[in-house]
Amino acid sequence: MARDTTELSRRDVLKASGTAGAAGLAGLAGCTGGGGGSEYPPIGNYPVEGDEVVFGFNVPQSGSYSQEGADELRGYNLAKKHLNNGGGWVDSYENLSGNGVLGKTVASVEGDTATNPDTARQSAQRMINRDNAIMVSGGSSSAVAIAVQKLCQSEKVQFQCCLTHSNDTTGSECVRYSFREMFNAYMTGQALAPVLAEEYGENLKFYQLYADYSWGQTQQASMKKFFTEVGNWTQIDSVPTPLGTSDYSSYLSDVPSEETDVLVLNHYGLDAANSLPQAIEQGLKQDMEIVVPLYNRLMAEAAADSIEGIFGTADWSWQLSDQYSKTFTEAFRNEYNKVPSYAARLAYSQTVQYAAACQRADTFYPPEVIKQLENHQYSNAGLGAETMRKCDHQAQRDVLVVQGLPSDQQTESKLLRIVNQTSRDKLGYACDAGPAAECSLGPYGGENN
Amino acid sequence: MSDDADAVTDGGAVAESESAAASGGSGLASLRERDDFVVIATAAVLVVFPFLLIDVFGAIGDLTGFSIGGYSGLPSLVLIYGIVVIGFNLLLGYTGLLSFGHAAFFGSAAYSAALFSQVVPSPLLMVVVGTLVATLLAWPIGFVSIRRSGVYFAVLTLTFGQALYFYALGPGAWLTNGDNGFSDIAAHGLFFGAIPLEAPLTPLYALNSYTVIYAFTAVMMLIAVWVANRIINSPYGLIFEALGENEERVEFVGLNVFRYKLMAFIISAVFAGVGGTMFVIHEQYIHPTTGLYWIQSGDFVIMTVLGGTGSLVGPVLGAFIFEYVANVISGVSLPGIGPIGSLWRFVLGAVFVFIVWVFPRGVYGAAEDLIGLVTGGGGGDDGSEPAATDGGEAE
Amino acid sequence: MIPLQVDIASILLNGLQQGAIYALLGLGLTIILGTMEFLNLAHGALYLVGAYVGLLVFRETTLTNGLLYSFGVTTIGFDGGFLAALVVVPIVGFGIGLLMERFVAEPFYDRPETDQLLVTFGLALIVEEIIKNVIGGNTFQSIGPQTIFGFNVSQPVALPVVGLFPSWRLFIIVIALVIIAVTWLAIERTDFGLVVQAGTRDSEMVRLLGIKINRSYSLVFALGAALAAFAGLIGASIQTLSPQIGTDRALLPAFLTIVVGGAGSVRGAIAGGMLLGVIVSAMTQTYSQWAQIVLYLFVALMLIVRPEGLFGSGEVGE
Repeated sequence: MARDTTELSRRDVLKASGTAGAAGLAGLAGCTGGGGGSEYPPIGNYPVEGDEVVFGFNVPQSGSYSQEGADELRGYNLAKKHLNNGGGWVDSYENLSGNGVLGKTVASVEGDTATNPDTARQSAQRMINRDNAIMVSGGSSSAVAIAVQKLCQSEKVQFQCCLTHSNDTTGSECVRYSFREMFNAYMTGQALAPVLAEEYGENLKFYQLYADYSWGQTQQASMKKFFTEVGNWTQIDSVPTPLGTSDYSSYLSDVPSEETDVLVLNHYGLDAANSLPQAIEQGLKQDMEIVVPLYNRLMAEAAADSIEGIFGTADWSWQLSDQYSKTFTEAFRNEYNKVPSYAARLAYSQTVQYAAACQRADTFYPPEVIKQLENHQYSNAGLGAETMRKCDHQAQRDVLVVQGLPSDQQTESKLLRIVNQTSRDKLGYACDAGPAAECSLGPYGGENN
Repeated sequence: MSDDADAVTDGGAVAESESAAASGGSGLASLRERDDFVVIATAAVLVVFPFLLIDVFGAIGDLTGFSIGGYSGLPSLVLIYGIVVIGFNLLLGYTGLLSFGHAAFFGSAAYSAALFSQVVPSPLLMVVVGTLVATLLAWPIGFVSIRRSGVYFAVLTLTFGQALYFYALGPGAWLTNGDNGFSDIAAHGLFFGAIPLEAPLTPLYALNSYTVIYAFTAVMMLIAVWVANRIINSPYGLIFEALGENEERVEFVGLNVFRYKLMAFIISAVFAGVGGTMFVIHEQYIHPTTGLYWIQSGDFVIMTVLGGTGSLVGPVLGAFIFEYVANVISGVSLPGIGPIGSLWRFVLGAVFVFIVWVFPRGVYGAAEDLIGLVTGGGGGDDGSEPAATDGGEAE
Repeated sequence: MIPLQVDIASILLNGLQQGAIYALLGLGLTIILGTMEFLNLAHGALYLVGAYVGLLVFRETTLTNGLLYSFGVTTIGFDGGFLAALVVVPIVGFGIGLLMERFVAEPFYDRPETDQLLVTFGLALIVEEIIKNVIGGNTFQSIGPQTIFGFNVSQPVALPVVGLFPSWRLFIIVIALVIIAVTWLAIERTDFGLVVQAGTRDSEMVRLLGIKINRSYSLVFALGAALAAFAGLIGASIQTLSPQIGTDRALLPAFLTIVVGGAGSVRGAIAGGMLLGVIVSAMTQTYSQWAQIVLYLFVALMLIVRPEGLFGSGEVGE
């Protein structure tokens, strides 16, 4: 997995950047004129010299989300393998040859974000400055994604968001150099509300607990908005819980069980793995329905005994039967002997989509690649027709509503069942509404500045 | 390079240090030469540091296939943490007080400088404001904490730090942008924005690893070393050291122990404040976990001890090792084993325990002993042990 | 909305349950600190080990990561149930305590407390990393049993005033209080306990009296470790397990507990743990955003106003 550093040495790049002068970015400005005879001015790590192009895979290898990080890394490495040697989606993408990208072999560097925004930034900085990564991808925890995408914007290096669900990532904190394939909290609300209104009825009363950080706050606001609008539900209260709380019994004791019809636990990953089982222990499921807006594998595994019948949303599932989902699942299973989580799909998809955009642009020049991704319409990522919207870089796509299986029907790889694939036509928001209203993407850089 | 710690720690066998205040003047005179030496040596190291870290290590990395080279940005980061731990060491290594809450000063300086930059985007004024806030915060916290020693002191500083952390993450999010992190930092270049911080220092390609922000940080580092060196070799420094050795004796001499401890605490917070501000100028970003969480305070402890308490530049060495392992070694792949990835923390923990166990004076002290042994200079004299290593039980 | 007495009752009950775990942790830490004047920052690591040993004994666990997994081991554990864990975990903790006293603590008795803090701090880091790298960084389900001693504890029970309360948590309160009581009696009523008591008051004196202090040291350390491991098992029965829980859930609370209760004081650890538990639970049910902040500020205030703690002599560790 070590990066093969035979041809291109970093010295070449340094040599090139020497002429960039005081206006360039520290140590990264590319070459002016010399080198590959490129038609674009140097920006970020462009131009790519030598016959390798480096992608940076920045995932949590330690800390709370290391399990997800490991699966993301599997997705990234599979994508790298397919881009270089063919296989998986690469075979069916018309622009991709399975022979590298734009004639260059894809190499990669890895980093450990430790689920800590600053560690993640350091790691990305290293990939950009030392390893000349032309694209960085990662996430897991919206705080990390937001921190790294800001860095990438200022370094003019592409960032492909992996697992980040906060509205802010493509809302108030959005940047030009970052694209998100995953859906967001707002869309979760839109997808869940109709299903729940139909399942549980109208005019109900709901009570929310939410993790007190950007994701949890936007998530609970979205749930409130759509439960109120769609099912005419009323919110009793919405209570913040500090990020990383492990004992929710006090919060749960406070839920008024006589009045409450639905309890929404706006917790993700580790937090949900604790709050959900504890809510069930407390007997709340006897009096009310419980909803966990966003499922992930970590949470489903760590709360396997408690998820029966619990509704939530998910990015993707290997159980989907379309061609692309099946191809990816098959390739992943062959490589790693297990089924992919949606984190792996995101990682794989974001890498392949980026490579395809470079091919379409016929250059690694970031502003051109960005333009290829903006308003790109595609239906080859396992979720039917999608559009990468230009105004906020948020994919407009379907969202899965899922439900936990009873313990006796669960298998190691199958803990959830798909209830509904909510069409993207019923989701999303206009460019001047919802989270997108707060988004201003910033400059492309380069001559388009 | 190796002499300066002697200069610092010999101090004329600290056992007699009750007379420190009186003998300080004459002691200073004899140390004058070495005094300059530390600063000059530091300056020399600062000049070659980025070249070594980025270019030389990078070239070795290219030759061997192990990506061990540094990257632009790392040298400044090492220096920033270096500034913090130089101050931290004044507290831990000399006065013998172990604080688990110095992130509070680092983080509060970073946040206040970041907020201030939105009004006045001048890096120099940011340093002034950030440091001022850290100092003002250190006074009450120190005033309260210093009255307790040992574990009580550690826990007290920890509690203040943690309270700030949870405030910044939760109720204070309107100010700090909470978990999204604060990134609207508007530090313009130096000299009223004339020189952008990210620019290379010179247009010469060979010096490409040198940026304006590095030069800025290096100057701050040099000032920090100079100031710390002056403090250590002043009567104050000798009293700090004496406090770590034996508090009662200092008290018997009639000195106000509380006052000197508080002074040491505040001085260390000033360094943390400078470091915190430089961090935010350098990174253009701050997050509660980086700025205020107790793990950050713990990292300061690790860096200081790893490098070597009780010597001026030892902790800086610790900061270098820590940041290098965390940011570079963690990305190295070993043949047969694969990427080191998350194992780096294990390696760090093991090295740390080893150091504490076998070399209480840290890597720097061990190197010094080794050099002493080789040159037959009698090795590490026990008198230069850090303050904390004896007399603990007697307290 | 909810009557006040319900609030108060549930605050107390939740506080008691959380406080019982704090008390177990504080108790273990305080007897080690009191008797040997040894500061153990690896106390959280003992909690972590207790939780993972509990996991291994309690059920079979599927691995998806880590060294063992890469060597082809896909499941670990004995599926022995909770009662077995209840027996095994303290024994393992006791054993680890003996080893730790002999090989880690002893070389550091005569070194300053800063060194003790540092070496155990590093040790905690290593233990956490070993567990993570061997078993994987996964988060595992909590290990609460369905039934114990023939009682079904998976369903909540209806209590007067409070309403529904998880019966397993009631059981935890009972079992933790029993263990605390037994420890208390052992210290109050046995010869061994006398040494501990005398040690926590004046270890110098005990040594001067010629009591075979080394053997007692080992026992005290092992007992403290067993208590921490036991707390880990209890904690893991209601909360998920991951390698980070040692520092997050155990180390800081343990230190806060003994500081509030008074370092070296057995009574203080119990009372301090309960007090902190109730404060946290009261704050989370009223002003949850401020719960952690108030907790830390309370401890700071306590240290300022009453530095010797609730029951401490104020002597140890000063």
